[in-house]
Amino acid sequence: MAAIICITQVSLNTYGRTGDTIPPAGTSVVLDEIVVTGQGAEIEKRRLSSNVVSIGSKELENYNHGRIDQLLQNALPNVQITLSNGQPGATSMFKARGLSSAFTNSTPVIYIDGVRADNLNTGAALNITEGYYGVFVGTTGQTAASGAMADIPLENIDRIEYVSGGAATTLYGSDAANGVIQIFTKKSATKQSVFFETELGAETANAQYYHFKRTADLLHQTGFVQKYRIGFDGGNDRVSYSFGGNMSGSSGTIVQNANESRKYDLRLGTSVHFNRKTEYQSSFGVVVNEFKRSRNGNQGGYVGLWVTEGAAATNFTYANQAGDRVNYGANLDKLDDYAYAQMKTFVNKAEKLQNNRESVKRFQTSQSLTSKPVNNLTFKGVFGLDYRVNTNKNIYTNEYWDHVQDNYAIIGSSGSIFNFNRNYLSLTADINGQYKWYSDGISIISTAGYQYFSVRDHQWNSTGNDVRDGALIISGAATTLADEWLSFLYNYGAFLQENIGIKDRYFIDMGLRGDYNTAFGDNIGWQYYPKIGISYLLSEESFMQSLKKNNIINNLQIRGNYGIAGSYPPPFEYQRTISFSSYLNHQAAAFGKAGNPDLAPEKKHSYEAGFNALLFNRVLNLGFTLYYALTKDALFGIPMLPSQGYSTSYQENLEEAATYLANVGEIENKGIELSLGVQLLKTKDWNVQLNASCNTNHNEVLDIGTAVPFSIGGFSSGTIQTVVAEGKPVGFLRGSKAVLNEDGSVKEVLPLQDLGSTIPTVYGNLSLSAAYRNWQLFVSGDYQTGAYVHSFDRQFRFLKGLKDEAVPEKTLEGTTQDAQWLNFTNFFVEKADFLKIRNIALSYTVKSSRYMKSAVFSFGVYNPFSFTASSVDPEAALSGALTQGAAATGGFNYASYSLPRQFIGTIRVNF
Amino acid sequence: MKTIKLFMLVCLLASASACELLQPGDIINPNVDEDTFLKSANAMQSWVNGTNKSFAEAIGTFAELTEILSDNYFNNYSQSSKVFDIPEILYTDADVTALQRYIGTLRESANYGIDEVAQADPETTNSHLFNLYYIKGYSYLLAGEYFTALPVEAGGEVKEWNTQLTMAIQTFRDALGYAGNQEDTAFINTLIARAYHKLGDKTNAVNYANAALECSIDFVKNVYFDGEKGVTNSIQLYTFGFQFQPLPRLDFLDPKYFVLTNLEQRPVCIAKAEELHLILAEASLADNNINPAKQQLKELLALVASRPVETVDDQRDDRHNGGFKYYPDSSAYKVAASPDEPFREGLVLNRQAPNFISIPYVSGTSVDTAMIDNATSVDDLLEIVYLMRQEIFFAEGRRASDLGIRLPVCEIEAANTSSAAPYIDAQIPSFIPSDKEMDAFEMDRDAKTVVIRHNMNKIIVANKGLECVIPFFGGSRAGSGF
Repeated sequence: MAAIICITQVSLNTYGRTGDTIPPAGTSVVLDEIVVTGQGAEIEKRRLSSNVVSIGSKELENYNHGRIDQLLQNALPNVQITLSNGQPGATSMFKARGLSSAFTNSTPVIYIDGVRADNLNTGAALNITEGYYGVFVGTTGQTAASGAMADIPLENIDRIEYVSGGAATTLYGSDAANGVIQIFTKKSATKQSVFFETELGAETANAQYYHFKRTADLLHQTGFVQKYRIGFDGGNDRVSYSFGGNMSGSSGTIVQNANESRKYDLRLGTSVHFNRKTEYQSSFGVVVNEFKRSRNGNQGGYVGLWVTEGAAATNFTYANQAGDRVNYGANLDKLDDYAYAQMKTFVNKAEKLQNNRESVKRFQTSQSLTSKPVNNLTFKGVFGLDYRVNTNKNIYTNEYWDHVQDNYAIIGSSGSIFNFNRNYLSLTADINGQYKWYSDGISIISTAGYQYFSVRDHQWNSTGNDVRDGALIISGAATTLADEWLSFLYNYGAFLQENIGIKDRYFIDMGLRGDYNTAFGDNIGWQYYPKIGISYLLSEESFMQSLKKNNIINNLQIRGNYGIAGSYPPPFEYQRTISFSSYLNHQAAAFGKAGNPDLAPEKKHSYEAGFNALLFNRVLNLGFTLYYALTKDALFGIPMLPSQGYSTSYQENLEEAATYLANVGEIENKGIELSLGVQLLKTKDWNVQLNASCNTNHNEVLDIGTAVPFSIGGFSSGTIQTVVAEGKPVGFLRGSKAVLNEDGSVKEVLPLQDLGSTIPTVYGNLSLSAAYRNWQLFVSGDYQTGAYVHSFDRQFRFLKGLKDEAVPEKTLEGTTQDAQWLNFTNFFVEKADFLKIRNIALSYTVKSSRYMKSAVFSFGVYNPFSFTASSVDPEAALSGALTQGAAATGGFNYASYSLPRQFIGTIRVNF
Repeated sequence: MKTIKLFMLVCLLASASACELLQPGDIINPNVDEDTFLKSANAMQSWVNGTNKSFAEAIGTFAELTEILSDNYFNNYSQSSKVFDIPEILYTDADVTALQRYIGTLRESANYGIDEVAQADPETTNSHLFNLYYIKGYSYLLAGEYFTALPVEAGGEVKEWNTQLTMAIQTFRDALGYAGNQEDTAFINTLIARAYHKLGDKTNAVNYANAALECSIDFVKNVYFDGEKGVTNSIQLYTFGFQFQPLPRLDFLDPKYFVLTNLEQRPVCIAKAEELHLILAEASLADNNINPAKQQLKELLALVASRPVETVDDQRDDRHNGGFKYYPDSSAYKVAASPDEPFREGLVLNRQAPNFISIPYVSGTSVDTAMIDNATSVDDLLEIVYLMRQEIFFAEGRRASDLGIRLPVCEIEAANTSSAAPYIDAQIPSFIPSDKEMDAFEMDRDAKTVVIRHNMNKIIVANKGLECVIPFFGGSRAGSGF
């Protein structure tokens, strides 16, 4: 991920104090900690029946600060986050308690200071996946796509809360089946402080997965990485402020800076106490993100990794020493020096001539007013917006087409420019009141609220064909084309929550949300989401006091709950429409969407039970949850019968053609979540902690209604796809399987076979934090088992005649590799088990002197080690989602770059 | 104080209307719903144009996918179907679904225009109806030529291919009632003759073929694309590029769809007068009348010779892609249609710089008068007829049907109707070689020779008694009615 600037600044807190204990990530044993997310208003963790993960700024400083998904990758113990690709701005994949939808992307909803933010984590409807010969191709899932996760504002964060989808998100109604991430930014400080930080370093390609030794030399360079941060805050009892800003850049790891990136991120928070009862808070954030994208995945023609690792070099010719044009060989490492020199020149120029730039400008603000008119009664109103402007410009010159030996293009008139624009505006208004009532060991906290949000996603693109080389805008193109797309919805919801405590140890948590969303079908009215749960502080019982006194048990909370969370359908899908296009200079009408007046949200019915325990003099911190979730009314794109006559152009994605949405499915997820924190050592000089988590998931589609098995990613059914079918996990790999006789010869070839799940059955994180006086070491990583990945690059090499150890020689008797390559897809599916160390960081803190409070020097490596069962990087995959907002499970390694390794030195000075 | 209170009240009241500014506006679908469309002006014009667009895309895609299903082209690339060359045709294959979907789209679009839009739009003309009826008829024709069975109405039971052809004929007869000129009539009569030919109904096929020739002796009916608007001819992308490579003995006909200027999309022919001679010649041979057949073929040669030729720069097509299959790339190559046959010259073109090539983009053939004269038996001539069909209809999506290949009912449709159960396997005649052998050849780069593994024209003539090939020799298969 070339855009990522690795934060290796590991000071223990923002102000340079050392020696504090870092709370183990994600455990909720800090029972009096106040959380908000999923509760409507502030409430102590002890009263909650669900787990709310809260991560403070001190802990967040340990992780990579490039983007929210990377920041949280090792910080959320029960969520697996993988970046789908090493290219800047690429989408990521979230898997928490499996996948609850086969239709909607699994990314949690993101709130920043109570305001809903754009969490698009797939390609956009009209963004440019490919443009050639004047034809625009939108999101296909077959390349690295860019979404909105790479530019969620990250400066000046105070803490991040995460709740998983289910009872914990019931109060978010139709919007939160995948969980909620809420970012709280700093708005005040008790005293004046200033810091500066400079990070400088290098990044290199992660070449460990390359089959050919020469691939890295052909495609990669060492990138220069830089980042500069500044922050200051201060104020008094009435008015205070906090500002943080950074700018960063990288030249990227692909030759010719084909992946260079820049980012600017500013955040200002202020707090004003009008009087003792009323506080106004405001927060403004601005992000600018710009990056270049190199051709990848199934873009065809010249694609750097396909040409090298996919042996597609054979598609290209060079003039040999005798002057004849000959094709490159498939095996790069066996090219003679002359041919290799030719290829190096060819690849270098092909990367240089690409021009695909994407840019994001994002503004986000939250305004809140809190009033406490009387004791125990609090009202809070929040209003805010997230406005994100995304542009993409893709320029193909005649020089490029000529250089990459394209034999379709007419050189001289094939220059083209593709523009994409997306304006996203989300408004949130939220008002709630909370009343706390205490009497004789009984406490009741009543919360009621109303929430409104709107989402307006407006996209358009324009194409200029036959433009002169050198033109950067479509003005003057011989022909121009344009298209427009609009998605628009409102969601209204009201909720009520009662939290009843008895003797401060028995708690009953009940809630109900009613929701209306304009994306619901005409026959669908308000939707209701109930929840009920208990929290029981066993450690507060009298019979436990001896254990508590002896520090065997410090805290023990038992909890259980049931709740429903929803996921609303896309706007306008319920309406029957006629679609229009242009054909031979006239309007051309055709059947549009078939519509479905019964279109309703998916509903995830979630049950969980578990405990949190702090044991043995606070040395062992344990969290355990058993969960079962059943998504009812799961949304599936039901294929229209071909005989019904609904069809989209064949050039568009076949699998998505002519479907209508219906709530027909059932998807089950069950498993456990285990998190562990161990204080290995704590003395005056030492503080060593180990955190680890282990999660299991069994994902199964119980019912697909009237649908037939359908693809949610990949290619045609004769090759490899991720598929949804009854009795299988969402997005299992499906392709041809060669069944062998005992002697290794082929007995039969079975098409459309289950070749493995793309959802891990076990996954988790681990981190080690060790502080010795002014030194600190931090290491973190994550792992998974039980999933599979398909390597198309390997299969392409096999197609091109290179031997593959996984394919027995006997299978090829009497036939050829190119004749059989697609019959043998099972040989190219590998176990995707991995253990990846993401961060290793060492820092040294110089304590206060006359001129400053402290200085921190650190050095870190990001992505240093990967241990994988597969020959390819199971994370480096195509973006997957076939359309905007669609589910994606990964599983295809196809000309996809791995995240680079970064080596970063940091100096931070606090005043 | 009272004044201040009153003033505050007035201020408050004056601001009350601010609520309106805070109310969200209505959510209105930016797309057009069905009622709005039907009530709008000139809906029929827009609908017919849209149906024509679907028709063009369907024809381009049928050509793309069925050409690699046949011996005409080999997919030498990683895009488009990787299994049709084998040929492997599964009812789960998305390409099978896509082709079937096009047929449904054409029929339902035409029906909607005829039944709904025509009622709503007073500006509907005979020309509109002619257009919709022939597209509807063509949807049955494609179903009858390429599928074992398909529904003939939305969600209905499947009907066998011969019923589809019968319905095609009926619908084309409906279209004749709206024909505006002789060319229209020739076009529709040709389609009817084609349907009767596939049905093996020689008498009707001959009658309609002669009727068509009476209206026009040289008509050509095309579907058109629109490169500027992204309506592309999908087989053009694959054949003018390097992805699909032609059988070496057909090299001189490739690429039929070329690009002279940026964004150009060449039309695809759906009917032309050449077919009438081919039908008449086959009918004569079926009656053992060799000389009339020869006469028809010579007239056909004259017609083909009169068709236009374009000079094309195809220098960037190096007849190789993918590193595992090279194709002959010089006119020095001689090609044998099978290991037992003599080498022929002139079938492979010099397309590398500095040569430009000449492409007959309506019809071309390697057959000459001498070949016709030298043929002495019905089988010899029948082989020439099918070689000419292959060359004249090259890249138009006709060949796989001549080889007797039929697609199954796709999985999605089959799940809806039990009547589809007998039809979920493709029909691939047993004489069709597997493992991509239809596209196989041996090339000797030193001797400049190419020997093709199988001469499929010889093979289908040898199997002419079978129902699936050479219809006039396989017995009657008239429609079963409905």
